[in-house]
Amino acid sequence: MIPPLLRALIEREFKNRFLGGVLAPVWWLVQPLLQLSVYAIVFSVFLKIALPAKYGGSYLAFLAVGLWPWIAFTESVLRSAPSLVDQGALITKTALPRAWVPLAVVTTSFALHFAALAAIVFLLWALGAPLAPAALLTTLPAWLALYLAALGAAWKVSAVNVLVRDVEPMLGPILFLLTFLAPIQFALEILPETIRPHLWWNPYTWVVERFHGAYLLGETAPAWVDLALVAGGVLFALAGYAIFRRIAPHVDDFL
Amino acid sequence: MIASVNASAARPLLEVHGLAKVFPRATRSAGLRALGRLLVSGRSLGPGEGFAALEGIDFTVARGESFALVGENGAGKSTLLKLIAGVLQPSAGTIVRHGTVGALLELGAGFHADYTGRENLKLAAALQGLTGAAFEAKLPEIIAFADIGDSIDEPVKHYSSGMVVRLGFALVTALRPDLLITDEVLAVGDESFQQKCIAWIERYLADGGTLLLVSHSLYHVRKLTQRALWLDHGRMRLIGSANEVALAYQAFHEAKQARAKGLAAAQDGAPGAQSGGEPLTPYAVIELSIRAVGADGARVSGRLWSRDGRRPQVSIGIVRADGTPVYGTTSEIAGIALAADGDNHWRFALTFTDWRLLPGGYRLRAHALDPEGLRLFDTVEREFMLGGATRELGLVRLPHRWEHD
Repeated sequence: MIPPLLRALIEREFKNRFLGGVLAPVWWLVQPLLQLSVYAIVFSVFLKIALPAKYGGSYLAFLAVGLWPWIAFTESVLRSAPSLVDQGALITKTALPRAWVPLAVVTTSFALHFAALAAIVFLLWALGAPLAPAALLTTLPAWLALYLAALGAAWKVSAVNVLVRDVEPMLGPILFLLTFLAPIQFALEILPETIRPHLWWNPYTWVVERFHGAYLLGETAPAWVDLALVAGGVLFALAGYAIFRRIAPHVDDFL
Repeated sequence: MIASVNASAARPLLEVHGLAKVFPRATRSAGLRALGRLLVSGRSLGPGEGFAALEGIDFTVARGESFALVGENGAGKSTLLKLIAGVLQPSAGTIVRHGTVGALLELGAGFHADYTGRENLKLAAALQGLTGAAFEAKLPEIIAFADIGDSIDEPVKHYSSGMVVRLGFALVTALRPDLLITDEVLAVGDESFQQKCIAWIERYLADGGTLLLVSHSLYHVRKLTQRALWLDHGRMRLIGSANEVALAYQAFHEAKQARAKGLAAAQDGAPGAQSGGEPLTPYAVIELSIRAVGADGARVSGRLWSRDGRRPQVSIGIVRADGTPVYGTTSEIAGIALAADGDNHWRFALTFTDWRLLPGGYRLRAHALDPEGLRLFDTVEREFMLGGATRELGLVRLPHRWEHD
């Protein structure tokens, strides 16, 4: 089903993550765990952010299910941005379909972080945290929507970054800002009434609420919610691809 | 008859029409402007912008034919190969390929330094469409051809450049594309590996393969290809048989080297001859021509002028286009007296017979000498080209015979 060349690219992308370091084979799990610990310490110990009771009382669980998909998204976009430039030698000297380069990056990130979240969920669940492992399945449409959106963003930024290299250094701060404009480290309910509605402008708010609902509130969303999310993801991906297709065939001259 | 019908029924493997490629000039804002234009109009360059690397390229390559691109550095050869390989997009014109294309543009391009030779082969093979079981089946053959021993499981960063080349070429031997594109790959690797590559290419050609070769080695061009295109500053300068193009290109280079050495040829007549005044030297060559140039000789004739009316001597020589002397003689050596041809003018004519010159670019050189044959006054040259299909090397064919039992 997957073209063999794309599979080879994805395999290589996987291997790239795990080359070199001693911890390389477990880094995909260790790194987000460390990040999770840092956020947990900062937000629950230092900032003492209160978690509304309806989420079951485990800030760690709340943070984990909202943060992991976001890490998958941001990492995909950040790693994709320089991907065409980095693979310049490959794409200017072979007839490799260019759209596959960011595609392999995004697919690898999502595969790793999906697995990481599954591991964390089972770990927390085994430790008695109040979350529903079945949500691993019910959140699949939300994952798909996020994957498609990441793909669209990855195509866009990777192509534009070849022509205007300023994109890559700008992305980090922008994505970091967006991290605080969605209910990831805090519940929507603790925000003042005047601010709360504005968070819905951030598309990730829709996704993260789906994750919170499925894992912590035992919600089964109506089908139209998942459909709408996936439709949104498809639109993102198509828009990104449209831009990629206009730019990518002409980037050789700038690599 | 049947063969010609078959030949006309066969489509060319590669058709290139009106091909042009324009590169943007590298400025800091070029990317931003290109981005704007691509999003608005789908073109990366505005009219008149950029640097034309190729323009007006038209040719076809038939199946089973081999074709060479020659030209100086920067003439656009590699750009043309990349366009044909589908790696670059043309700015104008079309490229039609009927068959699989395998490109060896830069050996080892796309190899990742941290991966082993084996791992790199896998992705490189996948890039050329060789995957899964088919790849596994070919792998021993590839590794045997590369012949780099246990290094196949070492990271490529520990390879010498020659080993990278071996790996890259070995992969191509397994792929056997309909059209093989190679860019100077024969110039790398050690002697024995080069010979192995050439032997493989010859077998590939004998089995009906089609080759598109860029090489600075005219020997390889003549040996491996039938037709050739000479690119000069992105334009077609000459297209024809490999031999014809190689000769013209070689003559161009020899002439260029001669100019660089300061041996500039006094191409057009004696000094002052055209201006109608008297030549500046006491004796001068005022006419020189060479006709009926062929493998077995040529006819040379000309006129000399002498200021004092005494009968001058003439010296005639043949030099290679780069100035290497081949042969020279004088009327004084031969004991010939030039025929009078009106006041102060003298005629001469001679015929070279069976001169054994090998194909290439040459110059006929004539000097006027004083009647004693001691002092040399004027130098006039005429370029000429000697065609031929032989692949022998050097200036002249030395008579020889091979001994065998």
